[in-house]
Amino acid sequence: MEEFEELVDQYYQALYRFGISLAKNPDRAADLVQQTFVIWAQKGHQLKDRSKAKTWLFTTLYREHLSNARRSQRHPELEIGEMEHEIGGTEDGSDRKLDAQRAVNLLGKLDETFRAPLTLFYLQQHSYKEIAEILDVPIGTVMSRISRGKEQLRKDMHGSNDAGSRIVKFQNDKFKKNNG
Amino acid sequence: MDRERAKFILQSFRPDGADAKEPAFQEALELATEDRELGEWLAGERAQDAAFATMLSNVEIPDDLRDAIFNVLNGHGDTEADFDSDFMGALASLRAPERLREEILGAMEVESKIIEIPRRHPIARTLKWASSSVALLAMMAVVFVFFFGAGGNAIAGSTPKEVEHAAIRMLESPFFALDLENDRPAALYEWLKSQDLPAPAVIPQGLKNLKGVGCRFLEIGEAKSRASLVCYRKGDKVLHLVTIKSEAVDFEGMQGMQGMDHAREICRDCDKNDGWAMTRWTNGSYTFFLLSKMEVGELAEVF
Repeated sequence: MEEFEELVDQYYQALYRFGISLAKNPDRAADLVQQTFVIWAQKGHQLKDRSKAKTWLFTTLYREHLSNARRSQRHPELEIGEMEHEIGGTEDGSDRKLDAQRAVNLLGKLDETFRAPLTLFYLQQHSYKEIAEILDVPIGTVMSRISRGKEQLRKDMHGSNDAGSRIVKFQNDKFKKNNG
Repeated sequence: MDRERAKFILQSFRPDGADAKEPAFQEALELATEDRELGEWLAGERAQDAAFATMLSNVEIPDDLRDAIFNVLNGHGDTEADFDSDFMGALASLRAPERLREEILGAMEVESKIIEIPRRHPIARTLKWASSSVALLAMMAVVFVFFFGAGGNAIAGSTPKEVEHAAIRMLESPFFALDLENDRPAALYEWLKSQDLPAPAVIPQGLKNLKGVGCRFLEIGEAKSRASLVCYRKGDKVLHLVTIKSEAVDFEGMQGMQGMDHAREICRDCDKNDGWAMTRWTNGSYTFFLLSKMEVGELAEVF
């Protein structure tokens, strides 16, 4: 159990950060991390090359997210409401918290195609080759997505510097309207 | 390599320098040392990347997440209630699968062959963990299989819902195995016949041209009524057809089961695991359950 704890301690924070950028919601991110370790407990023994545990965990979380996302397409209104709540909830936080929330929001605004590779890149836990393995895409595709994703991210960053307060206000108004 | 190509490659270079020894970046890095403009661009790029990586690393982790992970794994999470309500009454009918002993011994043999590496090396920690985790997971598997019967051929309970839930758990078990693997459905049905196991005389249209995966003998409920499982491959998905004598299914409190014509209409997600789609029908003598880890619409197309 000590060794299993070591695995959890080593990766659960990075997995959560990956999860929150994908799911854009803290509760769902936590669920994804829990589910990933539950799957590890059930199927991890099938992994022959134990040095690949890290890649396996990130791959599993990503697949779980895709699976959840397919299901949530049936209830899109719920996802939008929750996302706005998270954005609206950052205004009272510290600078550090705001930075973190801004990073998550910016990643969340990216096209789905770029979000996962770019988040994995910025988490700095994986090489581009490992990212390709996790996302199950060719290495050249990963490099291209990181490059194009950065371009889109920086455009969004500059845009949000100018209009950040307006965007937050608009979303808060919408949140209040949706929630009475 | 020109400057633009080098920029493209170096955009995947992690800001903490972890890729410094990666051969794919060598040529572009060398060019950056010779080309001043490229060098300045790289410095700026790494600074921006490092700043964003720091922002992301500031995402706060919920205080209770770590504990929640262990609680779920220790069986103290939400799943406990499900376990209690669904399986406590059925435990008596469960028994360990015949192959379990051999599988555990196999796992222990693998464990004993893992080469020891000095502990100070980082890989050694991974292997040490792997070695112990094989034993740990083997133990967990023993408990899991004994209590859930997932790797065996026993389906606890006999109501349609119990059959569906138990079948899914069995199919998701890492110990799940088929008695016969063959991609020819005719061979599978011949085997079922030779074992005096139930098999459908008519199967849904959409299964007719699919290749088989394998089949298995099942026992249903306390009466241990003989039933069968036949698995078909459809692309990267597998469809599982369970055939049970209707007399072994407890329909009490349920609306009457209908024929195959209605199976398409009642395709739905499993109420406990909506990664699975399922439907069921009867021809009078036999009751059929079709389950697959796919979208409901995709399952409905089989009919």
